[in-house]
Amino acid sequence: MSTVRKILGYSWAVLTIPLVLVLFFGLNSWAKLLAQSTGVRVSPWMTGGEIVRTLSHGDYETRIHRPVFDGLLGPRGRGFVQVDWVAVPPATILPERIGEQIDYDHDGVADFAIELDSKANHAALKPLRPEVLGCERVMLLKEGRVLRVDLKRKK
Amino acid sequence: MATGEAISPASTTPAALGWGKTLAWAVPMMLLTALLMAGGPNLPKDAHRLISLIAAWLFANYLFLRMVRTGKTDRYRASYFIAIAFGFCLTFVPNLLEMRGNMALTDEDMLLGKTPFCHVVIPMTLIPAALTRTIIFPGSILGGFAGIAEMFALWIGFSLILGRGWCSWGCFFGGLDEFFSRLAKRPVIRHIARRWTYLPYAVLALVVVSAAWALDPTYCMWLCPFKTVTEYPQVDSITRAVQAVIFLSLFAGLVIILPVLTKRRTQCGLFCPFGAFQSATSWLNAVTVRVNHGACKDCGKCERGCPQFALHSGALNRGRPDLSCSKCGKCVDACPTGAIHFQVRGSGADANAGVARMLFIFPSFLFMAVFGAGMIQGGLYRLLLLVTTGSLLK
Repeated sequence: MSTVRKILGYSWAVLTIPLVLVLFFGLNSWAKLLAQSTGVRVSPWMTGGEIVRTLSHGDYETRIHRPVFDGLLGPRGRGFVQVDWVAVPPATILPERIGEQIDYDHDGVADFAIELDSKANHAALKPLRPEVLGCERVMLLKEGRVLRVDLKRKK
Repeated sequence: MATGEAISPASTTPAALGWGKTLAWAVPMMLLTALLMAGGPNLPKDAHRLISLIAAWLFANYLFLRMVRTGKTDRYRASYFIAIAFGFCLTFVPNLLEMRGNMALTDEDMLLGKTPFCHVVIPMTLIPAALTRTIIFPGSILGGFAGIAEMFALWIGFSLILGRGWCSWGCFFGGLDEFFSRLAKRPVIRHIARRWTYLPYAVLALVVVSAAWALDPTYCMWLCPFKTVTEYPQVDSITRAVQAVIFLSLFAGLVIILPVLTKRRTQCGLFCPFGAFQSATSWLNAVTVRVNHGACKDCGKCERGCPQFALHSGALNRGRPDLSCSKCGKCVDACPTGAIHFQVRGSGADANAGVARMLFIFPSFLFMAVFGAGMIQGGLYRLLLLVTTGSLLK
């Protein structure tokens, strides 16, 4: 038994040398294989979730993401919906003031109204339903602004 | 292994090799590093980059040749390891300055997944990845600079090859506190209570649980000292100002001041959660560090020298260092009787420690040389730019 263990130990020790080569030569392939086999993606808490609706306004468009309530073991009680305002070429900047009503759950009724001051990077939120709690600070994109509106999950 | 049996030092001391055997190990290293560091048949056309590549290759192979010839591991490993850390900073920061104009990570970078992924995040991502199949880090899964999948693939590979040895042979941050731990001649603080060595495991538990709860990489947001020399969230609120103060304080305390005062790697040995996490992978490795207690004269050189707090009387009696051992080789080099040695798993105490050492240092050095090559080349390139143009930036 000890001889077998010894042979296994030395074999593994020798194999680590080609393993280094295989690791570096095939790193991109290993990474792709790992990503594909696990199917992992970046958390919507980082990305803002998938864009589910884009509203065109000529010089700019409003992108509404899906509401994010994703939790570790199930949906969380609190989450957010992310709204992006992005300039559409040839425009490179947003209008100074944008006023918009957003229907994030697509039920045909506006859920909140926003007044965005793209120059001062400030947003005023008016909740139109109790699930809308408030908003975080305006985040800057090169050609747009991003706002996350805090939500309470509907029971 | 019978740790108590007496064996002659000659059978366990990794002896210096003659020139024939040295070249037999060094020439394959030269060829493999040339192949992997060049990354293909097309050498860089830019003179600065070509000089940096050749210098990095020569540096690596000189160190490996000395390592094999002298039979000493630590000082040559440390030279390259420290160069990686400084090369990393010299590459990363000027790149950021060229791309963004400053080191601050903007909201746009995070929203668009442009944050480079770092190995320290890995333990925090595992539970959320297992339960939600998402990675709680604002990077990109594939592509970009330091993609998430690339770093995971590397982590699996280096865990198999090195285990916790990553902390002394791979980590591009570890060389910083290793550098500062080598500055003073003698330690000002000699005794550190053993209870502090459990702190990294507590930090690990804290950040893993808090990250899973918050679905946010809490260590990166609140505790990483190396934000100071890489990138940090743009300071645009009181919360972020507090975070910046924490990053700076931890860097000054754990990476500079305490290593100088203790001559130990305090960030790596007393705080880093990734090191603690990586300890769990050391059982995968073919070669470990073992102590032949019968040959030990209790001189204490290993215990005083161990930068990772892995050796003490209990560990010596047990015949192996604590989990925090990062296989730097310092104790093996310091032991006057050869009682501490590298050993292939499954082999006995009477096995040839010189062979075990070579079977460990060859893949470990090859990994370190290739993984760190880009950072050393990048650092040299920036220094060459500084000398020839007066600026680190292009």
